[in-house]
Amino acid sequence: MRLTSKRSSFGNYVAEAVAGAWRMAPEPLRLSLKELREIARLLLGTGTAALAWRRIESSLDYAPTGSLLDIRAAHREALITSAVHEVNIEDIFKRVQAAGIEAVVFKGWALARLYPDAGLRSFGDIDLWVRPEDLEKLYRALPSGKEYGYCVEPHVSFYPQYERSFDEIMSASQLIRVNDIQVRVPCHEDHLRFICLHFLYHGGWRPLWLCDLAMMVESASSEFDWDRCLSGKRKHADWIACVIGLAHQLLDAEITGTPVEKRAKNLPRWLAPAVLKQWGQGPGMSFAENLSFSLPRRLLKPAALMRAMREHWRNPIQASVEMNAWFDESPRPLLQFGSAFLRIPEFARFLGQEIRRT
Amino acid sequence: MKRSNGQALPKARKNDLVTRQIPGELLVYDLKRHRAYCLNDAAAAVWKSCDGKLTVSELAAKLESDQKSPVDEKIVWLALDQLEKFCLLQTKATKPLGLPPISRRSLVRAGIATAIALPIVTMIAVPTAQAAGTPVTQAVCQGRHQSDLGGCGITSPCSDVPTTKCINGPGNTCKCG
Repeated sequence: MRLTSKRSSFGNYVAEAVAGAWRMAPEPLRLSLKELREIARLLLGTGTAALAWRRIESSLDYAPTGSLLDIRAAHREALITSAVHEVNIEDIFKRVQAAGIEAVVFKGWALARLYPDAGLRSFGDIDLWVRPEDLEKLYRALPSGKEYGYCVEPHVSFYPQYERSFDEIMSASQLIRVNDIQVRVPCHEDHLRFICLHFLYHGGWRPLWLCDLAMMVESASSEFDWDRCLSGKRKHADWIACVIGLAHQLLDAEITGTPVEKRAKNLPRWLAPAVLKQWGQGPGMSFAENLSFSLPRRLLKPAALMRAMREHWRNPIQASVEMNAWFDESPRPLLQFGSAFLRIPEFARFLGQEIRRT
Repeated sequence: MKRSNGQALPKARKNDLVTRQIPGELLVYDLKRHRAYCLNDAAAAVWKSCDGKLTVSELAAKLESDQKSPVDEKIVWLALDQLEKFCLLQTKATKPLGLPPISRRSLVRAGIATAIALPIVTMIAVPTAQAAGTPVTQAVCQGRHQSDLGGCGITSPCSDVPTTKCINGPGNTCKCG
């Protein structure tokens, strides 16, 4: 997939930098030093640098300098923090189990452990899914203050399109041994479904997320239960097939023989360019907190208003998800307008609060 | 650990440290201070050999035999100085009286840094958990997806619990309080 605009070109470079980096023996990089330097900021800003370093390192025949040093440092940083996270996970699960709470770890650590090398997949907070009635117990079980250097993000439900209950996830979950403790993670099928939806919900701005699912699809065994992964509403199964298709088209993920193969090779024309454009733009996808808090502040400084409006305009992927639309060839701007329109009351409420506050 | 002559023997700290070896470097994370360090091969070799039983001259001899090249005691002292500075020693070695301050430059000038690389310990930037994860501010708590009770909900934060507002909870979570 080659596109002409500068942002999309940068997106293409990012895709090339990380394609296949999750494999045991990644292929040498086909980017020039100039191209790499152009996207160093994007790799570093999206937590993808450690993965990219794996491909850069194998292609480099000279000592790294400048931004390449920063990318190498990101790998080093991810490597040592992955070791620290292991200690943290152990501490968290000791506390959780002592409090009699059943918890499942999603994303971050639960995915990082599947990569061939520790430190390829950087992550920050630790996502725990618990039953709603256990939430208060979890708060009490976790340490307070900053002496424990970890962030726990508890969840009691996920996106409605996930269509899975906590008990359903628990019933198929796996126990992983971390030193002296057993840590519960979702089965591959439930996890893959989750990370596909997570990618869409956030407008696909992190290339790392697509690497996660490419890695999961490629490492799926012959026993991988695609029916379990795709079961639910047909539209949402199609969304998942499309995200896997993105991993195939942008990162060369191998999907031969999977039930999504046909759809993955026939994506709506707007989808891959939307992701590449987003990757070329880097971090800063419009999260709800940005929408709610930074825009009102910027409204009070009119010079920054135009930039803020551009930032808060949902990309076609996020708008489609928010409008619960099919991923088809119908025009996306309508959905983008719709998404912006639906958020007007929320925006107005926060704007009012901000004006009263200032 | 002390010898009969009262000389303290250097001993590497092991508690509350996490290490990872990569080619040419040893990465060390201090869980107490939340700081990370990078030890080059020479510094790592000294640190790993500090078992609280060897004197500085014995350490130099051990490194010499491991690396099959001459190792001056001053190189060991340079490593120990840096390890001590970054709190990576449990017991520091007693410096002989009159030993001048040792720097990398002085060793290079004296022609001591020849066969083996000089030991270097550097602090590396590793974001704190708070910075690496989603920074948990009130705005973040309120901005989290509505279905995540880990956030307080974006539409009416904590509205079901009168007089409460969304605050940071333990473990950098969010809660109504």
